[in-house]
Amino acid sequence: MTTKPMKSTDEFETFLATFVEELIAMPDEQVLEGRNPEEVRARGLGLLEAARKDVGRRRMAAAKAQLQARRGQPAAKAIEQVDIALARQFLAQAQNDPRFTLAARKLGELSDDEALNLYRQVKALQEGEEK
Amino acid sequence: MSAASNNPARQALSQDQVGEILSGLSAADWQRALAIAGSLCGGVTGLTAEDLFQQAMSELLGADRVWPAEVHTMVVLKNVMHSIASNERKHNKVSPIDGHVEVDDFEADDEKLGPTARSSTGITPEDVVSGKQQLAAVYAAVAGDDDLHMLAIAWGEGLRGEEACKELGWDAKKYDAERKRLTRRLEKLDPDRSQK
Repeated sequence: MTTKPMKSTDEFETFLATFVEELIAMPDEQVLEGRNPEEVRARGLGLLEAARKDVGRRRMAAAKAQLQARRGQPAAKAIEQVDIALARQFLAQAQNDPRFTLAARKLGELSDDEALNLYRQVKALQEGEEK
Repeated sequence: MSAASNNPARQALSQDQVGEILSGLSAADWQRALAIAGSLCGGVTGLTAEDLFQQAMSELLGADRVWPAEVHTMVVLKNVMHSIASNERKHNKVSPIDGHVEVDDFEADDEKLGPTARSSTGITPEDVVSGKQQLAAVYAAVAGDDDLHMLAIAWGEGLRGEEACKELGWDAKKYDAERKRLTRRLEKLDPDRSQK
């Protein structure tokens, strides 16, 4: 019998599609011939279970990544709070500095944003004095 | 044939629907899917039929891959597994480490000072087309068996059933027997068979 080589990727696509069509057309008993159907089903369900676990693991990994991302945001805020505390501390000390007495007079009444703004202004003035 | 072909007529199945279909597969359908997986593993280093099938189910269940409604279960599984296997095959090929290369032992010969291995990065894009590799794997599996070889060619030409029988000059009984043999042969394509 002569042989003819397959020659293209398309030909494999055709081969595969035909193979699957033939598999679908084959009677179940032919597909399972020589095999224990219960064992085959158990094997398949075992793979399905493993696939479900894999999906679960991937979801957990994604959830952990999201959680870490969320944790990163409060951490940044905490740094800002420290900055505010430092700013107020700096401003409190500046109250005793004759150069900034006026600026820091109402320190206790200032909001965080106002305190930070004032801190930046005083810092800028201080840096200007030192230059 | 089982009822695996009756998917709801919607654009794409939900993850729950995918799970329901898979968990409801008959023993014969599990075997069909495993046979398809086996046929796609030829030349893919380190990937077994079970690995491939499990990965396909995982990607479908995790919605990484879409399960189009009204497409036969076996066709959906074939498409997903084919895609995964092709990607894996291409990945193997573009890696500087060629999994198919056997490293020689040290030899006393002065001209061979140590182990040698070839990189596959110099191959042309055409060489990495996984279809060729898969065809090579199919042909390796039927080498020396004229009937199976001819049946593989017929399938490659899209001929099946009565049409293939006629072209091959076989009766239905012979065709059934050879189809069964080829199916069994394809299930066991060697994942690590060298393509060179």
